[in-house]
Parts: sequence; structure tokens; C-alpha cells
Amino acid sequence: MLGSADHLQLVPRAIDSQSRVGCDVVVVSDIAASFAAFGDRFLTRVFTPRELASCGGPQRDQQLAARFAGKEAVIKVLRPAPDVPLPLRTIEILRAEWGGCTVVLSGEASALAAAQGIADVEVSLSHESVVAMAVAFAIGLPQLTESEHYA
Amino acid sequence: MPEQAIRDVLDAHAKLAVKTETLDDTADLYAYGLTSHASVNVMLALEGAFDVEFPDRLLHKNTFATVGSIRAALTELGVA
Repeated sequence: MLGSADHLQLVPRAIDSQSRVGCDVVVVSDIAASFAAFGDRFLTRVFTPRELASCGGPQRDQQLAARFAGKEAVIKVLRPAPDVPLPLRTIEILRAEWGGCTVVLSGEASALAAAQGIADVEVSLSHESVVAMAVAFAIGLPQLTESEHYA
Repeated sequence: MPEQAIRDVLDAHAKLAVKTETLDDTADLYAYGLTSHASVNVMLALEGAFDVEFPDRLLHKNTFATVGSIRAALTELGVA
């Protein structure tokens, strides 16, 4: 981005073949129903302790639904083969200092990202009272130029 | 293993577009509306019904893809 504060010029940047986008939507009452049916077993199989600690108060169901959508959106950018295990707890959606959310991958999710040349995954969450949604964007590792390959 | 118990869990928790009595063992449950969230519910309900716990290595899409694949996973977990 170039230019003065009152005249910004957006400079197009190439999105390489490793960049990916994924999205997901979750009905908040479905998450509440899972908790009602399975209790803490549902929470602890899906969310990490840090995620659970970050969700509370009158909008807890919405926050949990948004994080579930975030995990699913991240799965869509990781593109696991159907026989590759990917526990939901290995995709952590945490509150970032700036107010949004950040993605922390571990275990199988981290290994899958590394194997596919994914350097970073960003996520954006949103919710209303009845639905939650998420968009994830994966950024690929820099591609080596021909000269760098042979350096 | 009572296969009917698997189908009962699916009918109760999978939110499929049809009853499982209309599906054979190889029918693709995702094609009939199984979502990722519903598959979590199915997994937890199966654990309760058969007193097992699905380990992380079985937490992939293929495990819950068909009635037959669910039966195979439960067999692997020691359900007779």
C-alpha cells in the first residue's frame, strides 16, 4: 500500500498457488444442542482448554459456534485426504491481542500444514444470535525462483 | 454387534435427509447430509452406546462415511 494518509493506493500482490480460502457456517442452537446432549464430553473433544476459557457469559454458545466454524474453515484450507486424521483440538482458535482471532495449529494439523507448504493461516469469525460463520485464509510458503533453486 | 444400534444412533444424531433403513451399508452418509458437526454428535453417541472412545487416529472423514465404515471402526475398537 502506497501513498499519503489521505490518498492510499492499493498495490496488487500476487496470490500464489499455495494460497487458499475456506469458509463455514454453524447454527448456534446446534452447538447448544450438542452440549445439552453430551455435556462436557462434547466441549472437551472439540475445544481446547484455552478456547473454553475464552468463551463465557451470555454469548458463550455464539462464541463456541464461531470457533467451531473457524475450525471447519481451517480444515477446508488444510484439505486433508479423507483418511487423514485431523482432530478438531489440533486447530485452536484463540483471541488475538488486537481483538480478532488467531489460529494455532498443533499435532496433525500442524504437520498437514507443513507438508503442504502452508506458512500461516488467518481466520475471521462473526456471529449473530442464531448463526456463526468463519473465513480462513492460508498463506503459502514463498516459492523459490529458478535462480534460488540453483543457488 | 447390533447393527440396528448404529442405525439408531445415525437416525437420532446424523440429521440425514432419509432414514437409515433406506440405506445400505455402503451408502455415502455425507451425500445424504452428514455434516462435520453432526459427525461429532454421531461419534459421541456411538461412544455412549457402545462404551468405547474413538482415538484420534480414527477421527477422519472415512470413519463416518458409511454404516459399514462405522461398523468396521467399532470392530477395531473391540466391539463384538
